[in-house]
Amino acid sequence: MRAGDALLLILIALTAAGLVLDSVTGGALGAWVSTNLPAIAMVAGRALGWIGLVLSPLLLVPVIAAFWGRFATLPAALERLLARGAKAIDAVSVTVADAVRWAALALVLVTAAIVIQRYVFGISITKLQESVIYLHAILFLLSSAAALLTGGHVRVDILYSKMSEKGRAWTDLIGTYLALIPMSWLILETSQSYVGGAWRILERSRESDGLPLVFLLKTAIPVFAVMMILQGASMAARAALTLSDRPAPPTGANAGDHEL
Amino acid sequence: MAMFLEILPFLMFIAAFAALLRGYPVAFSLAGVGLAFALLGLAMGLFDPLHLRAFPQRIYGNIMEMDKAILVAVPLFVFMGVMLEKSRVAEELLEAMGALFGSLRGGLGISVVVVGALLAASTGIVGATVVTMGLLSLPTMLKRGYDPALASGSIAAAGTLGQIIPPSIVLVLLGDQLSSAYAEAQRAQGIFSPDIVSVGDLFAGALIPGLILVSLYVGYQILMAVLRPQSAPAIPREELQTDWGKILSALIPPLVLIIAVLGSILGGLATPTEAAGVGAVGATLLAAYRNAGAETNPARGRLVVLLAAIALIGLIASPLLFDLRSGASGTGLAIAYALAAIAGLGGLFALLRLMRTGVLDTVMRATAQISAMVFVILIGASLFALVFRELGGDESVRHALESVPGGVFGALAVVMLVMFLLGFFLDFIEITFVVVPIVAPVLLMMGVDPVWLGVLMALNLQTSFLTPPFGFALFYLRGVAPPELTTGAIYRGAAPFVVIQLLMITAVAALPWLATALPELLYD
Repeated sequence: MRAGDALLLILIALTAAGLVLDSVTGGALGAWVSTNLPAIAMVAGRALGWIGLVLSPLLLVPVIAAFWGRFATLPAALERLLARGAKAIDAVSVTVADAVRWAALALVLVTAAIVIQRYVFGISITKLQESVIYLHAILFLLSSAAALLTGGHVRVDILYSKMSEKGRAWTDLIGTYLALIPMSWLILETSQSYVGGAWRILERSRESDGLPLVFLLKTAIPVFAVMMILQGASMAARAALTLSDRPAPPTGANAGDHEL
Repeated sequence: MAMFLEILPFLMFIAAFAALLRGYPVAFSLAGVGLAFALLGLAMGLFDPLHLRAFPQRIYGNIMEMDKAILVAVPLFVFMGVMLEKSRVAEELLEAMGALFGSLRGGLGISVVVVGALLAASTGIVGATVVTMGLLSLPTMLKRGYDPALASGSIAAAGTLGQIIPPSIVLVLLGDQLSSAYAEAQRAQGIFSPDIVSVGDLFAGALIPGLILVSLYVGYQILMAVLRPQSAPAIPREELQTDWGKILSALIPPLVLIIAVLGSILGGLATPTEAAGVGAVGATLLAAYRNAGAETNPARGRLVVLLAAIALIGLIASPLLFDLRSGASGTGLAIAYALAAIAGLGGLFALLRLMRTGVLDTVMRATAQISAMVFVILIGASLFALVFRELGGDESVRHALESVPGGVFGALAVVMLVMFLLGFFLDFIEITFVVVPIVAPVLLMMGVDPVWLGVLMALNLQTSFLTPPFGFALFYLRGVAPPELTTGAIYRGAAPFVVIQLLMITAVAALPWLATALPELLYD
């Protein structure tokens, strides 16, 4: 079993436990959550924001290392930091992607179930129909970081494939700081009011019998942004190592996997 | 200054092109260029930062809202396609068609085209088809003395059929973009009871041109066999054994899937997403029945999966016998529940089988990766388009297109030419997400039929897979072709098919009913 499978099982078990507890207490848990969650989330969100802000200077480490490594020998401690940091980030991205890959199967099964329910039994359940969109969004948003690691995001590789290893490392370094991180930062910054607003009212589906979890669905957007920033840092760390003539940890890339 | 403002959006395009060529992943390069121009616009007081605030809302509205359920068809078709690839459907079809047509001159080429068309109609992932045929058919054709250029061109071209013959991922993405553009164009014209264009319309519209392409490809094989017999030799009849049982067992699974998926979409019974879900279940059962990925295939396991498949078919067919929707009759309902239980349990067993061989894992992973790639490009492209629009790009494009001589037809020709040229360098996904939302509203407001436009664009994008030097189909074929086959031969082989494509585009441009007749017949 992979770490991602375990993560998924734990999440399912926690959700089930919460639902059981809620029905045992006669809905008291649910009521407590819906009155207190917005306030708790606000505090937690603010705390996370501060942690992010404090840690954000670390994002500069790879670019500093890249220039340092160009002109002088990279200190061993810095090299270790880059390699270990990259591997730690990779582990997080891969674990999350492993957990959400089951959403692909769930997507198939739920869609087929919807068709049979409607076509054979004449029933349509709004919650089930909405869950398809949730599964789809979670699938692509949360496996995007791992796709960056394994080379799943297409590049125009006319020139890239002909570049030297260092040329590619420069591309990755520059692209990460000028494109990937700014885009993700924009998403994160603008999500504050958008997703924060959804949490404040615990936004639910516009349909009365829909899923009451729109605020969680919207939260996947900033989570995606954070994961992309982290994975970008990992990519930049690898590039910095390559540019300093140090071995970079392997990516497990499998080019040609996106055979659309 | 005014001059600068006029060309700013075009500068943005050039900058994007330069950034993409550098080779950083497309999704983020597009977003990065968008942001850089947003900053430039801010500095010059041309851009209201408020527009950037709407970015998360755009992501949500473009992909995650309930009315975007059509996009879910993409992961479902990918799931189905990878599952079929693992069930070795392509291999068996190639063998069967080779046995059927091999004794004709040009027969191997014909069988490659026919298999390409069948795979295209069941799900259509170009890469997988080209790779499989490149590994299996190419060596056989070369061994039999086929002209290397003809052999490789046929395989690459047959693979690209997946993009034009419905169901196809290009048509899903294009349909989604066109339906937004069509709504926008009608809003701008003050039409308050707008007409809609759906992915189903595009599927129906692309069917006839797709089938004509198949027959043109086959016709080219026959022509070559007649004109240059030595380039496409026949296999001596005594070396072939036509085993009808084998041919049927190769043909039945894809044909059933094609009829179920395409039939239910064109017949208006199911949305493309729903049909894709059912198709994915069918492909999964097929893979489990064949115990894909394993060396052995115990008969008992096969029986359980077969039972599940029969129960599922029975369940889907049951509305023909009983109506369970209103005032359910006791026995009918009991039978339906029993069938559902058998299908569910057997399906679970099928999944366990695929989990043991690791196929399920591969399929889920590939689906996740391709979804991430496609939809993150949509995110990056939407930021690019947002900034482009706010900098007045829409207006500039409209002016440019309206000033083209020849009216609607001239504007359309320019757009098609630009898409064709971009296709030399860029993937169909980027072109669909960046170019279509910018040019389509203008063209639609000039009165172009949306289905016609969509089919023309789809044919154009399909051609981009074949155009040397960077056509993806050629690239995949190069990856698996034996080293003695020169890249030049692959390019030379692709050229006649590119000509056929251009002929087809011209034909659809001249005779719009080729695209619009079937959707009108089916849906009006």
